[in-house]
Amino acid sequence: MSDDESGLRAARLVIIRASAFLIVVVAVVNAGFVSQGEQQGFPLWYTSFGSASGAVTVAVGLLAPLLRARALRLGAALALAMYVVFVALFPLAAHVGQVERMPWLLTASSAAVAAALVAGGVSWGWVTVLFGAMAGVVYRLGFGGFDVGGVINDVHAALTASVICVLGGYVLSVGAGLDEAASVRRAAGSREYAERGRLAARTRTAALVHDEALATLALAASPLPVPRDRLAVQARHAVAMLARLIDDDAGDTASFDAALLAEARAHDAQYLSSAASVPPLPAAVREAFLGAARQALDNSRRHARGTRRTVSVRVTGGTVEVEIADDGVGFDPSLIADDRLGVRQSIVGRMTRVPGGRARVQSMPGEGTRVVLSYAPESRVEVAALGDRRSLRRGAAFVGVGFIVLQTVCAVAMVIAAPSSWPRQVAILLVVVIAAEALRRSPGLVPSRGRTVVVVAAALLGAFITVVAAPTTYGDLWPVVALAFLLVGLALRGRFRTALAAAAVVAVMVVGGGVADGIPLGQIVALTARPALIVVIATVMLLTVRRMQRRIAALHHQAAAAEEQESWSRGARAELRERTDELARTVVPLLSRIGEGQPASADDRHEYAALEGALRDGLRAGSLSREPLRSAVAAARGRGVDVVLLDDSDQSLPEVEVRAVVAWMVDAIAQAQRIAVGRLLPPGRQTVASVTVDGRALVFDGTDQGSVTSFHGE
Amino acid sequence: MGAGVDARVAIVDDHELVALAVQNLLADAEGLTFARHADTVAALTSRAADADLVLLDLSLRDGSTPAENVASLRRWGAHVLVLTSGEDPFLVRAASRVDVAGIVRKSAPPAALLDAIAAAASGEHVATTEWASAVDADPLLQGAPLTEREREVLGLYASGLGAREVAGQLFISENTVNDHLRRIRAVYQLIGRPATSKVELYQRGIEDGFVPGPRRV
Repeated sequence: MSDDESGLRAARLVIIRASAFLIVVVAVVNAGFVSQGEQQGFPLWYTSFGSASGAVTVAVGLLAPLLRARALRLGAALALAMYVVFVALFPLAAHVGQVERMPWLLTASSAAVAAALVAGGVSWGWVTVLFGAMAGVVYRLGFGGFDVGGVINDVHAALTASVICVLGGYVLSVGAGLDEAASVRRAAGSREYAERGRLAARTRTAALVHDEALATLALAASPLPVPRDRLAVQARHAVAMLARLIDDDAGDTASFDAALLAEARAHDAQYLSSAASVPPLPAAVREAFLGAARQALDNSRRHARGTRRTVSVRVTGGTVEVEIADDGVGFDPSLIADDRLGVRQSIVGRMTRVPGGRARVQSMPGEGTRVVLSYAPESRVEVAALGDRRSLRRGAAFVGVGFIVLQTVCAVAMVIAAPSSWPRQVAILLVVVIAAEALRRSPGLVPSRGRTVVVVAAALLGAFITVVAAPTTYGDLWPVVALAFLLVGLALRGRFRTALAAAAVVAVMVVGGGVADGIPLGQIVALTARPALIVVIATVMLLTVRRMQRRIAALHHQAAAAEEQESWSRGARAELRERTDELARTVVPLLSRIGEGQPASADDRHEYAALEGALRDGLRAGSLSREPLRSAVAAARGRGVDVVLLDDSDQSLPEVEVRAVVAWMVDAIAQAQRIAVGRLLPPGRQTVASVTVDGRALVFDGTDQGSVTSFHGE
Repeated sequence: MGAGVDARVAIVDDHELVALAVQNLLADAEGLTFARHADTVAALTSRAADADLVLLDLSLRDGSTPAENVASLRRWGAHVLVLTSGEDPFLVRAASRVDVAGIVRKSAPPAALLDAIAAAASGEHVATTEWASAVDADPLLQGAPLTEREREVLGLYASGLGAREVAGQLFISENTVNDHLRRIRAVYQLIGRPATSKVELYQRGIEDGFVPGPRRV
């Protein structure tokens, strides 16, 4: 299943699930507060509304896979709206109840930011971040709580929400990028493959016309003594072949299995089908497989006569393998010259020309030969759509600057609250800033081992100092959260495992410190939740994006392959129908007449010769094969003139000039008695065309001067 | 052909009827006898050599390439004249690069066809418009060591003139025209000969006189 927005959809799923997860965490943390008797005193309706708001988010997150895109966005918008209303109603609730401090719950805006991303994209996300931050400041001023712990909490809440917004925006851009890459590929692929299909059909028709019609007509036209009845048989055979052309088209649209089976049968080989069904293959891959298999079978039949031959298909994962094996004389592959067409070009070359295609030839003298053709879809799309990395970097840089500023605010706030702690605050701020700079200045996306060590060491050291030296309160623990953000930065830049491990160590330190200080468990959870959570969420989201990229890319790839094959067949069928109609009008009537076996008059012969010549022109005359030259040439051939048209140009001649040449040739060929050769010359010659009529050569001059164009007047 | 033994002509073509037509054509020809018809080169060469000239269809349906076919026929000991029904120039070029006497259109007038067969049977080069135009238009030829005059002859020949008319137009003898055509053919076949290493290419250049060889003073 793949629609045009499957990438975006998957991205939204990731984000809405993150939102639901965040709500659960917020509920747990809040329960911790409530269990300590804090943050209570709200009227029941307000508490109920808050719970309902959270429940809606969780429900949308759980049901997301079942929802259509529109429903999902509406659900997310509903969850967001409930959050906004919940925050907006706080003054009323506070007025009715007895609230002496703005509750922590109101500042936990990350889940709402995630919902906003799903509902309306990145801009909604940032508006929500801003809304949460403003609400925090206003309510704290109005309802109390504008103290160190409160401000630092709000700062970190805003930062967390920003990180979620940047990450979510990145996830969305990856999804949208995948969709766009896929739609571009599909549009291009569709056109390209329809054209290829047409080309294949034209080639097939041309081959048939060449092999059957042309040969028959040439014999019928020539005065060579050929038994009439034999000629009639051949003509009837040709008609039958041409009539079958359109039915044979089944051979192209049939399943890959059936096409391979047909190849195997045609070469007396046993066919072993795969247990798993072959996934839809891009038309080019299909062509390459069938062509290479045909060549390998042909080689085997020529060089290993009378041996057992097998063709087998295996599908493992996304890889399709076709093996052509015989138990014949074998050969030493290293002894084959590079230019030998059979093996190098027709088998290996064919497969390696398609992206993801490979071929191995295994053989030893006396050991038989195994040719293994394989195809594994390359994750081309994945590479093409890494998502908007620039916006990720920009977002990260923005958050980084905000980070430094906000941590400075935290440090200043702490120094104001407890002036004696200033050396500790300054030292830790320094550690944080240095580590952040080390990370920011990393030249590549993934920081080097040295930089990673610096960041991790800073995080652990900072956390250790803080836990040991400071009392376990939220305000005093600000550096821990700050350092956790550094670890998020590490995760963002691809050091997932290191970031997670370091975060775990930091969390253990905080918990250990809290236990040592005799703090209640609920409070410890509340203190540890944010630092641990942001690292975990960032890592999970980024890892999910990676997986999503691969999965969506594969999905798109399959859809595109199916579509390519479809348009290939469509193109081929349309072309075949056109060609068949054309042949039914032109070639078939004459062939049928020859098939009747009546003696041919001179006029008949000329008519056959004219048609034979016209068919030949289809192969060789290129841009000269057009009106009014076609009619003039047909008339000349009808008079018994042997006309040859050759296009040796590289097709780069301007249309105007081709038209002039054609008009000029029409005049010249009208004069011909026995033989006429018209030719478009290769590029770079003094003239573009020549015509030779009954042994007199004329060159096209393009202008009206010179003797060449005055052929008439002579 | 000199007096005495007739040249034996075999044909490799998917269509038996073409073989039949050629057989009839040769029946009245002096100095030529029809030897055998086969569907594929492999079928023809599976027996001992019994033909001096093989008429080879350019696009056989057994998947063989002109180059392979010509090579095995030459090993078998026969000259090769390629018959076409008006192929695409790439196939014609592929055949021209190997050791063939010439390339002739099946639909050419019978007299012309017979002349070509007779000439090829005696080991002569058969120059035709089809051959000349395909070779003349080959981008490979641009770097080939041909003289201006040779290029001129080839161009005129490719435009549909015969040796006599080319000679008349350039004020040279017909023999000279044929000499030029022969050399052009030789040079072209040389271009087509695969060289597997640079050393080999260099050696061949010396052999053929295109590269000045190391000289002892």
